[in-house]
Order: sequence, then C-alpha cells, then structure tokens
Amino acid sequence: MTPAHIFQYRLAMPSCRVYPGAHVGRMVSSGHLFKQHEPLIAHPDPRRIDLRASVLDVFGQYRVRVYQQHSLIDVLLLADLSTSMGQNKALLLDCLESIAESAFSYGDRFSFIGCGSETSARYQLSHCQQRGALRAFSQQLQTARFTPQNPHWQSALPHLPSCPSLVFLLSDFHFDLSILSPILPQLRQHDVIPLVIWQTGDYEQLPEWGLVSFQDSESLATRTLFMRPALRRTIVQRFQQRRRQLQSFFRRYGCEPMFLQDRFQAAQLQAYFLQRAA
Amino acid sequence: MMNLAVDTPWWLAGLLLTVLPLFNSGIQPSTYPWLPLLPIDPLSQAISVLLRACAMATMAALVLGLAGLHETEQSRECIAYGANIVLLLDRSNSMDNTFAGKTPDGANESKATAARRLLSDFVEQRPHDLLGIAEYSTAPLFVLPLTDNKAAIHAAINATATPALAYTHVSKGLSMALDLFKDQPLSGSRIVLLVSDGAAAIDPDSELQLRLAFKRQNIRLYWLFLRTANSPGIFDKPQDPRDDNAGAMPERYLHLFFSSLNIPYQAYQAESPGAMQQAIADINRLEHAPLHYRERIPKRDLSGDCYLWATGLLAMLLAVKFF
Repeated sequence: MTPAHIFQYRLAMPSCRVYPGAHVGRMVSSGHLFKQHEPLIAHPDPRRIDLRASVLDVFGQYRVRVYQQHSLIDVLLLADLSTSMGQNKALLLDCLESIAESAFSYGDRFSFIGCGSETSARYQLSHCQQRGALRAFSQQLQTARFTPQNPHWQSALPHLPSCPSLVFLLSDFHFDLSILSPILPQLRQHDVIPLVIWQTGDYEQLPEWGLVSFQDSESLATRTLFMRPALRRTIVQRFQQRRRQLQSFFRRYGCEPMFLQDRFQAAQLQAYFLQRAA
Repeated sequence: MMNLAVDTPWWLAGLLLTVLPLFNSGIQPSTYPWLPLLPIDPLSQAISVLLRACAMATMAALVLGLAGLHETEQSRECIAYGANIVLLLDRSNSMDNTFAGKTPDGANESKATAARRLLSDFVEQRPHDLLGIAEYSTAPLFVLPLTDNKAAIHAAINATATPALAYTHVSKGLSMALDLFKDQPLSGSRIVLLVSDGAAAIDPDSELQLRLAFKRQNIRLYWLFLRTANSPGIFDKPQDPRDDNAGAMPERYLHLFFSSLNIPYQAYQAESPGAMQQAIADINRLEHAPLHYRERIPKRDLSGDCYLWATGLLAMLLAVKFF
C-alpha cells in the first residue's frame, strides 16, 4: 500500500479512549498540550511539579502540571453485503484496505462489520491492528457470498463501541431509506460518514440505442427497456434526483454523504476530511 | 365462416410450448442493483409485450404448420345466369379428319381440333355454367361430372387431343350423358350438346330408355353435326325411297328420333369451322337462364402460410436480437 492510498482523518469530537493514540482525547496524562494543575497526590509524578503554582497554592500543597493525552479511536467500516453490492466487490476491498491502512498509520483500531440479511461473525473483524489479520480477512471477504436481501443494519448496532468512533457506512444505498431512518439516530454519538458507491455503468454509460433487459439483483424481477437518448437522460436525472434525496436524508442526521463512482480514491476521502476541518 | 382443421391433432400438444416466452424473454438479462430506480417507460413495456406476443405467435405458427392446419372443403351457394351443360363428344375415327374428309395438314384443321378450340372458347365465355363431359365411341367414356371448375373442364377438353377411337355408338353415349344429370338438383336449364360427325342407328330397346330418360330429366338437346363433304346431311331426303331407312341414313333417322322426343331440340349442321362457330354462338346466346347451384371450395392447406408467418416473425425476432 503506497502512501497515496491512505488518507488523514480527524474525529469531529474528542476521544474518550484510555489508550494513547493520535487524536484529541479526554484523558489527562503525558502529552504536549497543557491542560491543568492537579495536586501531587492525584498525579504522583514529581517530574511535573510546578514550583510557581505550588508557591501560589493557598493550601501549600504541591501542584503538578498535567497534560492532555492523545488517545486512539476506533475506526469502523459498516459494509452492505447485499447482492446489489456484488458488482462493487473490488471497490469494497479497496475501501477496506485503504481505511484500515489509514487507521494503522494513526495506530487506531480498525473494525469491519458486514451487514447482509444478518450480521455473521464470518464477515466481522474486531479491533484489528495487525496487517496480517487484515489480509487474511480481506481474502476471506473475496469469497463472500452476498445475500439477496436488504442489509439488516439493526443487527450491527450491538457490535458498535460505546465511545465516539469514526463509522464509515459503505453501501450503494439502493434500498428504501425508511429502513435506515431508525438506525441513524442510534449512531448519533459516532462520527458517521456514508460512502455511497455507484457504478456509472448503471446510468451514465448505458447504451444510447438498443433493447436491454435488466434483472434486479435482489428481487430477481426483470424489466426490458428500449434504450434511446431520451430514456437515458431520464435515468441519469433519476440518479441525480436520488443523489439529492440521499444528501438531504443524511444531512437531517448531521452527516454529509460522500459519493464514490466506479472506483475508490483515497484522495477523495482526504479532500472530504480537509473540507470538513476547514 | 372459416372451418379450420388439422391433419395430425396430436401435434397440437406442442401449443403448450407457446407459453415458454412468458417465462423467458430470450434476452440475456444483465443484473441491475435496484430496478425501482429506473423510470417506468410505457414504450419499453409495449415493446416487451409485443416481443413476447411475437415469440408466442412464432411458436404457435410453427406448431400449427407441423400439425398441418388447413381449411376444410366447403360449398357456397351461388345464383348465376348459365346452364347445366353436358358436352357429349364423338371420338370416332372420322373426327380426326378435316371437314373435307382428309387427313389434316397445316392449312386445314381436323374436326376434333376445331371442336376443341371452339368449345374451349365457348367455356371461356360462360363463366357460371356447370359443365360435364362425356364421350363416346364404341363404348361411352365418362370424362368429367358436372362441375364449375374451369381448369378441369379445359383439361378434359384438351384431353380429346389424343387419337380417336373406333366407331360411333351414339345411344350408349346419350344414356351416359343423361346419367350425368341424375342426382343433380333441378335448377336452371339442362342441356346436352352433342358434337358428332356421324350417327348410328339406335336399337329399339335403347330408344325406349332414351325417350323416358329425356322426358324425366327435362333436357334440352343441341346437336352440332359436323358434316363431312359429300356425306349425307341430317336434313337430306334420300332420292331413292329404298334408302330411306336407319341403316342407310343414320343421321337423318337420329334427327327424326330427336325431333320426335317432344323436348326442346335444335340441330345445327356445320360444314366448316366458321359454321360451327356460328352454331356455338347461337347456343351461347340462347341459354341464359338463372341457375342455382352450390359451388364447392376445395380444402386449402394453410401450413405454408403458417411457416411463412413463422419465418417472418423469426426473422424479426432475430433482427431484434442482433440489434
């Protein structure tokens, strides 16, 4: 994995994890950012005794300088494993690798939860910090069988950490959004980033003329379309409309979706985080 | 009203195959993530339904073609101006000679050829007649029952081009001609057109039977006598009263017999093709009575049409497939 494939990210809120890491946290310990003075009895580290503060202390106690500790965070990737994602498998693996590598570069822990018709332990990776485990899991995911049903996001919720974490929601969102609306409020404590993956072959790169038959990957219903430029324009408009609908839907829950087309680009995610920090 | 039937009904079990296109559109579908995202397009729906209908029609046409679909024989009631005509043709040797009694050369045609040509024209001019043909020589020959099939009539007339046979036995021929009218509905006028170049004596037994039959069948008789040069005519009286008998002058006595039948009878004595044509035109003009008959429409094979349709539809479906 070359550095071009990783991106830098920040959590919108401070971490509450006790383990030291790279992100702003709530823990006070060793660090570079002065946070407050504390009695020596609370932080028995004589190296940090602040003499000036101790002299000024009305109770004549020794005061110790404590610093804000940088903590690690959990990075989670919740991926839709329904059949419609079958065509996006390569993208999914790229995405998994990039996000995991980026997390490793911060020393953060990476978890993956696959949501098919249910959340199976087979497609789950918890608190991974080793590349070997990631590679093994990635290989296992390559042979994954996608379930022909809408993803059951509800079953993923118990596996989420209680502390604020960075949660990527990876799906094509080709389902009725009403199944997602009870889930998003429960993810409010986390920093949720919906990644919408679409294949341009599904709308922009359709043929201008011809007779095509489409079979729904999940319901297996078929529909024959007589393609012509006007119909293709209508389809592209439908996708643009859907894009606006997704944006307004996720903004209602305080997250901004990111649209990935055809392939995963870490630079795109990088730009997303830079934009958010600005 | 179409009456359809098939040759091998068990092939019709193949009609079950026509439901196949309902399950398989024939187009390899490509997977699509979410169909509800695609707009509902009435034109596409119409084309899809049309293609399925075409595929079903192709199957049905092929199966019906295999089963041998055909229209059954039917009859149609017709009313026309015309007559029931039986042509009674002489096939004796002498018919192959010219009117001058010689072997035909390039300039002069034989009596049979002239009769054939003129009768063909006669048939052409009378589209609604029912025609039957009988011939006689030594024995009567049954050629064609009463029919309105012009092709068959022309073929029967042309068939007299084969070399003629032996003698003239007119009474047997007449009774066969009258037999043709048996079991026919009594409608329109019934005509026997006797074309001969000679006659023979009629024996008393046949004479009685013929008298009865002519009366019973309500026949109008025309005799087109093709007289050879220097032979006795039908209206001639012999100079010598001793020759005035059926053996010596059969033509005259046949004419007398016909005249004594008390039926509408007309004799024409033609001595050249021109005179013969005149006589036939005369008959043509006289016989125009309303005629009520049933026209028979033969069985019509429709499997060819079925295959044609199937080919056309298949070509269309293939064109769509490679479009």
